[in-house]
Amino acid sequence: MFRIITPEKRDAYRDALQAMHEMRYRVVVCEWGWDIPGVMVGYEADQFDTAETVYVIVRNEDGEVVASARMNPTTQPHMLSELFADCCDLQPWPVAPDVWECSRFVTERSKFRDPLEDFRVRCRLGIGMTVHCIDRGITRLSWLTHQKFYNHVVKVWDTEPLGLPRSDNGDWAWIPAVSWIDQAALDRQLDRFRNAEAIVAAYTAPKLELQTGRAG
Amino acid sequence: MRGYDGSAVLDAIRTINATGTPQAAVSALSAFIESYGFDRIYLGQLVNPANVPFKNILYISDWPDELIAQRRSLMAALHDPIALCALRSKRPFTWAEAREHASRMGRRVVDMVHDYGITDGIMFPMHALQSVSGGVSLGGRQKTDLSETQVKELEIVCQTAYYHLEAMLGPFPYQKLAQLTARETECVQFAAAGKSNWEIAAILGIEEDTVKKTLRRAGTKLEAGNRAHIVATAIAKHQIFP
Repeated sequence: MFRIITPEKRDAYRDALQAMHEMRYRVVVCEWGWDIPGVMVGYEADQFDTAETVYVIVRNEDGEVVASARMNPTTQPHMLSELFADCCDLQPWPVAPDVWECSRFVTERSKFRDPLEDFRVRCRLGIGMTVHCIDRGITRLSWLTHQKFYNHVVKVWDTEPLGLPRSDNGDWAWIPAVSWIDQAALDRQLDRFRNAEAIVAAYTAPKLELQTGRAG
Repeated sequence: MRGYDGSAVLDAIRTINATGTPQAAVSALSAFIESYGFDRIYLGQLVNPANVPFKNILYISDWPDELIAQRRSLMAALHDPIALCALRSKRPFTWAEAREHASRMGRRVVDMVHDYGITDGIMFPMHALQSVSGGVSLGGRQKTDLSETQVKELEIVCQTAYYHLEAMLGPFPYQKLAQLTARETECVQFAAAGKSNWEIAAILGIEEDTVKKTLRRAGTKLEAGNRAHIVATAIAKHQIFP
């Protein structure tokens, strides 16, 4: 199940938010190796965890927070406007009350039994974001992500890049983008959630078959 | 990039996304790549052709039929250094770069295209989380010398075309449709939330009898007898979102 934590609900979910920041530290700092200025040991938060931020979290069967994402209004300083403005070389980053920015889409993969669970948790997180947007009249989400994730997102959200891909040292390129959120997008996400088994099975099998050169 | 004008790239992306047929999408991509010196497109998922027939995957090419037939007869995909590099590479690379590290058979596969007037090319690998890897390979009659920005421009447009075509031509057999239809899912989802048939009908703006029939159909598909069984089975089979 996903949980949407809006600012007015924060007191009721203080423990979940604490667990979320700790989880983010384990993934973003320890696993991804991001250098976040001024980050506290064991607790990842930055200047974009603001009073207006909305969080979506996913817990596992044991109640642990295993995934989270955050959304910020673009009418306030946000990551694209403050840190990555120069990445938007195709079109300006959108700013409007019905456009929010999504960031820190984080899953703690070490907690998952298999790729299927990983996939379903990502689906839940994405569905949670879409549900919140539809509910609150948010029509677009802007974001910056690496290409592999961008290519995944375009399968469910109608998306346009805001800039050209950027890459350091041959690693995954980063792309700023904007996605349109509507009921059709939610339907596509629910379809993928229902089809998770087939999608994940197909993802692993043919690639392996080609890599090993196995025929028949 | 200061002073950079990306309007042509953005126009191409919007044009491709607005196309309703594969032919139109490929034509839009062809028109865009022409100014970069490319006139051939090979776009598709990278799978073992011995295991997965082309009709079951995303595959579009305007390469000469004879060349395609020749590649198939040699099972070229299994030796093609461009395909193998695309599976591993996170970034675009030229055919020449892939050829450099290839076996003799691999170099032969790359060089096959020369007989058909295709001299040089570049491959854009397509990777997505939980998706079959693929690529868009562009070929041209002359050796091209692209700037870093031009490569990125081609990359984002090729990427747009690839995923637009995948969405348009799919679902492929590996992307099988959900067991329940959208309407059936809605009805079961509301039943799971404790709504009566009358309430579901009011919410969805349909007849109560239609709700009853839709739930019955869902029950048949899920091999479930009554309302509680349908809901429980739908959750267990991940057909609704608990």
